[in-house]
Amino acid sequence: MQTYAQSVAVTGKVTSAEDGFPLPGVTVKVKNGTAAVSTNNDGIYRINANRGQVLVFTFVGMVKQEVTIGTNATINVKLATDAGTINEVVVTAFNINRDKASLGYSAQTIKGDEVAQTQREDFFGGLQGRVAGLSVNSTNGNPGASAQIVLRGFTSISGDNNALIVLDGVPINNSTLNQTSQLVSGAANRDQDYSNRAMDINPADIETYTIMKGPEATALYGSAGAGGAILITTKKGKTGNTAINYSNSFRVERLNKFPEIQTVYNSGSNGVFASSTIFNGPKYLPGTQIYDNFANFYRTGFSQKHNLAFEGGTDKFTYRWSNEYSNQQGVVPTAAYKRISSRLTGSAVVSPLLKVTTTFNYINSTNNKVNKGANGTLMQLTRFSPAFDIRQYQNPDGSRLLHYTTIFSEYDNPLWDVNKDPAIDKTDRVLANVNFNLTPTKWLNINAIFGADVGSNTGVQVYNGQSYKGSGSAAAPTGGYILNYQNLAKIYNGTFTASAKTKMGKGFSGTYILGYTMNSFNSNTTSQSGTNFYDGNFYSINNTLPTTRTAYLSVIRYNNLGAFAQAILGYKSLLYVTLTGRVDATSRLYPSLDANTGTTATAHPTFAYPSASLAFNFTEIDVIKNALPWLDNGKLRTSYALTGKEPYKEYALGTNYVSAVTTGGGYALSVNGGNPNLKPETSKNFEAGIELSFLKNRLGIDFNYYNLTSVDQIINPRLSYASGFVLELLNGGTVRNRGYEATITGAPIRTKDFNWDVTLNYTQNRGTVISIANQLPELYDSDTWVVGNLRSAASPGSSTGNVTGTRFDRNKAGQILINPTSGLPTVSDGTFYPIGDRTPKFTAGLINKFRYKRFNLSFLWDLRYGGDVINDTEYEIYTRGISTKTLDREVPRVITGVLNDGLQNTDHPTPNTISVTPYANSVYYTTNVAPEMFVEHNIKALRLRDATFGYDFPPATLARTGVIKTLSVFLTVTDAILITNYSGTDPESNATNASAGGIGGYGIDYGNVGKPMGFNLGLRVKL
Amino acid sequence: MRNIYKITAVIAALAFTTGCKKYLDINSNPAVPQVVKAEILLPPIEFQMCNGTAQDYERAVSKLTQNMSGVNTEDASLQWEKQGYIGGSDVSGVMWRMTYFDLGINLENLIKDAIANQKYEYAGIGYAIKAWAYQITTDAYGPIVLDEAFTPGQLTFHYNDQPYVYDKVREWGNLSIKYLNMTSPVSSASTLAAVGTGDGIYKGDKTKWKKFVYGLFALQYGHLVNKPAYVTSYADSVIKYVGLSLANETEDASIYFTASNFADANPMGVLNAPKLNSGWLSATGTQTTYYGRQTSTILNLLTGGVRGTAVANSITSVDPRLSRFLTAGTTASTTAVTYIGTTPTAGSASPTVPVILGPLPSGGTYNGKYIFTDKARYPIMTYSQLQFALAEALFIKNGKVGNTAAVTAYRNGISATFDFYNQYGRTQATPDPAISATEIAAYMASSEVVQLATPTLLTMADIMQQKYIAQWGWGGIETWCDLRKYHYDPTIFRTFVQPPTLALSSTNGGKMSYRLRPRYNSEYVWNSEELAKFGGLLSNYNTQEMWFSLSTP
Repeated sequence: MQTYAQSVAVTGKVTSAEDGFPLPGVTVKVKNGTAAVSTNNDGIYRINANRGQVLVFTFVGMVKQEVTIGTNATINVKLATDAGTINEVVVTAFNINRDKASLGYSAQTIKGDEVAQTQREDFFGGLQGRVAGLSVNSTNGNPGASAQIVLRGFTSISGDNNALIVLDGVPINNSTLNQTSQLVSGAANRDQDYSNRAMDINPADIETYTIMKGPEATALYGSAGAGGAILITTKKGKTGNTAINYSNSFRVERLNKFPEIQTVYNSGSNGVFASSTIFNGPKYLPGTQIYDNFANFYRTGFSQKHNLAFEGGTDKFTYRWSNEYSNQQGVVPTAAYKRISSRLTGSAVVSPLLKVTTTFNYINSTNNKVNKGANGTLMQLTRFSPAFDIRQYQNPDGSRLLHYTTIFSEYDNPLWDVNKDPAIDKTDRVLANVNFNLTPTKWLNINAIFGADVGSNTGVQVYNGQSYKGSGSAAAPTGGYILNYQNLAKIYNGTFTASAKTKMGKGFSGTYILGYTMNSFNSNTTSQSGTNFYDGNFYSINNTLPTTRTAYLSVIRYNNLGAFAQAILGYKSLLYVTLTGRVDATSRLYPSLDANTGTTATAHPTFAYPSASLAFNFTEIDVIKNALPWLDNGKLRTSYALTGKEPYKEYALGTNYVSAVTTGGGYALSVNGGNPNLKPETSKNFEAGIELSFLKNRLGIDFNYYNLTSVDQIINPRLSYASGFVLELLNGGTVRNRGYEATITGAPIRTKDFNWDVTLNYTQNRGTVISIANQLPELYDSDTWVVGNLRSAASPGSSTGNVTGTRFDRNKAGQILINPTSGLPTVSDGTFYPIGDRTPKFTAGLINKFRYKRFNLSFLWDLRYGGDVINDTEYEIYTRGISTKTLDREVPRVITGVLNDGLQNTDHPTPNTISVTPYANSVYYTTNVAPEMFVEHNIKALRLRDATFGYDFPPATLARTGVIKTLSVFLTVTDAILITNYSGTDPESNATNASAGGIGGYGIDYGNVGKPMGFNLGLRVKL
Repeated sequence: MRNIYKITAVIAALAFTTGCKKYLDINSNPAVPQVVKAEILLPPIEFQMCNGTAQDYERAVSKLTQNMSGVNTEDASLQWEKQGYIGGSDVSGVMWRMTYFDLGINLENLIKDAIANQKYEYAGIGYAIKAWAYQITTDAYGPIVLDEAFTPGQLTFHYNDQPYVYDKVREWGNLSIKYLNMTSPVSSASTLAAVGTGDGIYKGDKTKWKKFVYGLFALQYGHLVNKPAYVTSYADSVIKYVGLSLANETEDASIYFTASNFADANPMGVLNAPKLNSGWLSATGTQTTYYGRQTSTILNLLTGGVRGTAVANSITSVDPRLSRFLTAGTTASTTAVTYIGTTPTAGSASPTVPVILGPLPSGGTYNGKYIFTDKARYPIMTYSQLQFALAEALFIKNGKVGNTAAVTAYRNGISATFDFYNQYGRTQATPDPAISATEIAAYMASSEVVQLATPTLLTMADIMQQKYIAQWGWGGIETWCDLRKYHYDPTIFRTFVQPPTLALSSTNGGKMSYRLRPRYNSEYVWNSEELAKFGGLLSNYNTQEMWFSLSTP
């Protein structure tokens, strides 16, 4: 017998089970039907359905609920927060939504608001500690500092290890300006910092982050995603009347840790006074006023941030327009970062088959930077005599106040430097994309995304003619220096994917995806420099001596094409097999005309690689389900993937000329030889993991093991010059990264009034350089060679975090050889030995969230355990007699060792008995110094990255205003606590900047300002 | 119908592939050309001929020859004065870089383009420079990479022995002459003559370039004085090729500089003095204690020590070159007029000896001195130098007894140094006075110079010491060749400070230096297996005598 279905209009309100707030944007769907609507701003929905049908309520981060339509036409639903999040939908590559159950790899998802709540200017800073396997290594604590964003360790010795940043399906520019190759100065990438461009994104615009770590997960992005990817989904407009969201935050910040310096001994050497920056002189005369110059130099930073967003729409059209103004004044005087961002997103259902979403984002930022490294503020501070008041930095006539010598030889007072040597970067950037989603039939979905990311970056860097770096020399004064650059970076992206879903037979399902991508990157940089300012305080290239002006053009361009096919074969929701194949073609492997041979090599610009994964949701088996009733969900997963990574440099297949600046100009070949045989670096990744959730999803465990081997490493070693070149990009070397990642999520307390959620992320990674081409003993990064003979280098058999250094001469028994005349050790062997490993043993992040009635408290502890940190700051101040470790200089000591007297390698070497008193013999502090003394081993650092305390005003109270829908206030503290056995300011430090390839200056602390403690106070209001 | 489908499919496939190709074919740097003509390659090559030799001269070779020294006790400064070397360092490896990288493939491409496009002037100049570069390189390092150099795809390279390199130098020299004798369909004369962007050495004068090549041959044969064949044939070759070579000091081969800033100025001048590649002065402009101080070796030659006894603390000298080459007084005081010099290997015993850039005026900017100025042409080969090689050949051929021909060549060589000074040595902002005919006549008639009337008084010491003076300040490798072929003979180089065994570098085993080690960050890193074959890894490799100075053929 057949009954005619009776259609009724069902309405109701969806609220949060926790706080009773209405939930807008919840999808309400008729199960197995086509009708679907969203709740409006007040959580109200209205849908036509038949009695007996089932309504499905879904919302990101909430437990799905199904309600059968009975006689009552009003169905109110309370949705609970999903603690286990095992059934959620995950946005994978190209906005392909996949049921998490089908994924054969780990993909952690973080809510955008959680990161935005940290009030950091950069979203990646807020991600640190929230994701297993993610390491965000910032250069220092200054506003706008660049950061390496690395997933699962450093896989390339020389290449780029940064994760790909994908915004709404479109990879965006996250490059960092490379001074060496892009600017006329050609300077090493360490004395100036340039923000990595992901800095431009307003964290408040972000809905979710999905972290794709393994190459299998990113095989879909091809070469660019070989280092993993962070997929960012931005907030879209929600159906309903226009809502206005406003939030602000005001921050004060203060630096509370500085290097310790001695204030007992004056400048000079051998206990004799001399005006200099070496403090091996006599004691300060009694009554000498000692200034606390560190305290007098740094200021209290102040920041403010305002976010204003309008959103609304109908079920056919939604929009969201969000605006940000952020202004951060750092703790170093003049250091500031300012950003204005405006983002408009519109989404329209053009026809039942086609949905179009477009976004347009304009960003304007200004970064007032200060110098870092050797002549950065911190090193300048340490060298500045405490007998002088740092606040006095100029004479009444505006010239530099000198204390001991001339402008050519005396280091700058840092206050002079920050005030007179400006370095300003300005960015204007437009990010736009359009997403066409066509659903011609129920089983077919076609998605096309086009994105443009066009940014103009301009900058100026000045050394005043009176400054140490700008003065030149007495013999050839330079009278100031200015460098301007103009960079236009354009990225265009297009992706086209078609996915088809089928069901075959009993419980078998298949999803088939075909895709095609194209990327185009073009970055044009022009730069000019000049010296000898006519007017010493007018900073313009027009104000320089014409004969000193030089200019340079750098063009970086590369295009990529990719095609891929993926099949996801499922059996019920029990077993899924995913097979992916991808072909990449890159212009960087396209041969160019070789200036050397005058010929063009054969083209092999394409490379292909496959991947496979398996997801086994064993709790779907009834036997197991019944046997383990306490286990809600259980999944075993494994995957194997190959990924190709294109060369990190363009034009490397052929040799290039460079213009000569010598008499007559002309061209000469570049130091880099072309290598027509270059092929992609290949990663082989095996990954296996388990996901479990217990106690009604109140406890979840995600554990993962991986083994990633990268072969055919692309390295850039020096060559025998008989090749005609100095360097060449070569394939050679293998790096292995092995590790564990675990995420434990729990909801220990879940009551009406009190909730406690906790997440623990654990990361353990070992990266090992298995081999390097041609048995090279060491492949070092010269940019990291900042103090003494210590540098970052890959050595076969050592960790990827290896540092090498010279050592004291020793006899065959390993005893230190002592010079029989001076009583001091010697370093005559120029070999660099591995002396440290900067890789932490493990890192962990612990997130706690409490909610009591309308109060909430959340905080993130971040632990780094083990591994070495190189204290180059201490290295330098020790050799200058500034370190407090030199305070015992009047105590005579005998260095343990044997005399280098001819008997040193006999069975009876002469023990050293020569007594040395450093006070009278200052050479002690430069001779009895070996790089390994400044490698601080087994560094542990526990920090409270951020903590937020908030209060939400009750809706009933707000209802009386008639305007305000929600209102909350919060206090957020950032970098409040740092407990570490590291003797320097901050173990999170980088001697280079994020443009350096490989591991760069990670873990090398040289003159870096630590992270200031910040207090943010703000409110959020919704009208 | 089926065919139409097929054709459509093929066309579509082709269109797609071509489209892809175009899209990907952007792997050439649009900021620089990929193919460069000989005309544009020549100026940087000529500049590097100077830069490559000057840097090694400043840091190492001038110390080995005692042309200059430091006044510092640190090992890195003293090593070269102690006839040693610095391990793990590229100091003294710049000539290696010059020959294989700075000239290297640039020069090969210049020659290739010149021959392919019938620009024979360039081909001739290219081969002349190539011959010169390999001659300098083998005279500095001994066995060097030659046959296997620039082989694409190769990472390690076989070395060729010195006699083979000497042969190749003459082969390339003859190729140079061949092309210089040919007439190009389109003359490059105007391009080559352009000031600054053309040929900065001879402005494209093919006759002078040929003379340069002949001069190179003469100097090469001149190195072989210890070979039995020298008396029988090589001396005749020297005589013949000197005759075909430079006729006077106006024909000297030297490099031109625009000198608008340090990058295109003479590396031995004031602008470069505080830069890393020079080192006369420290970066902050104070006088470095490492390099560039005048030594007693040259001072004594200019104050009566060539034939007589040098006058200590001289104020004046019959030799007019004293006041033109060297600086009176000390670093602290330029008012004192006595001339002082360092004693090589003595380190900081004489820290106040002035730097060769001349006195520091009160204003703070060095004036420069002699050929140590920004605009001074950098000499590569001089008439004077060749006249001494001629005198030496005539002298040996005549049984080491002076004859009129030898004395004439020797006296030509000396008087040419005055011409050289008057022509090239007065480019300072405020130049020193020219050497007058009276001064020249006085010196030529003095007891320091052998007179034509008494040719039998001529000794090898007279020729070699005058050649030492003529080459002082630039002719590093040739001076060192002279010292080595006569084994640092104290009777020939009378003012040369013979370091006592104890003052020699500890790894020398009591021996003087005879060769430079190939560039560290090239050869010791990549080619160590090859170096091991001829003892290149030994710590006393620098003391092994080279083929050219041995008596074995």
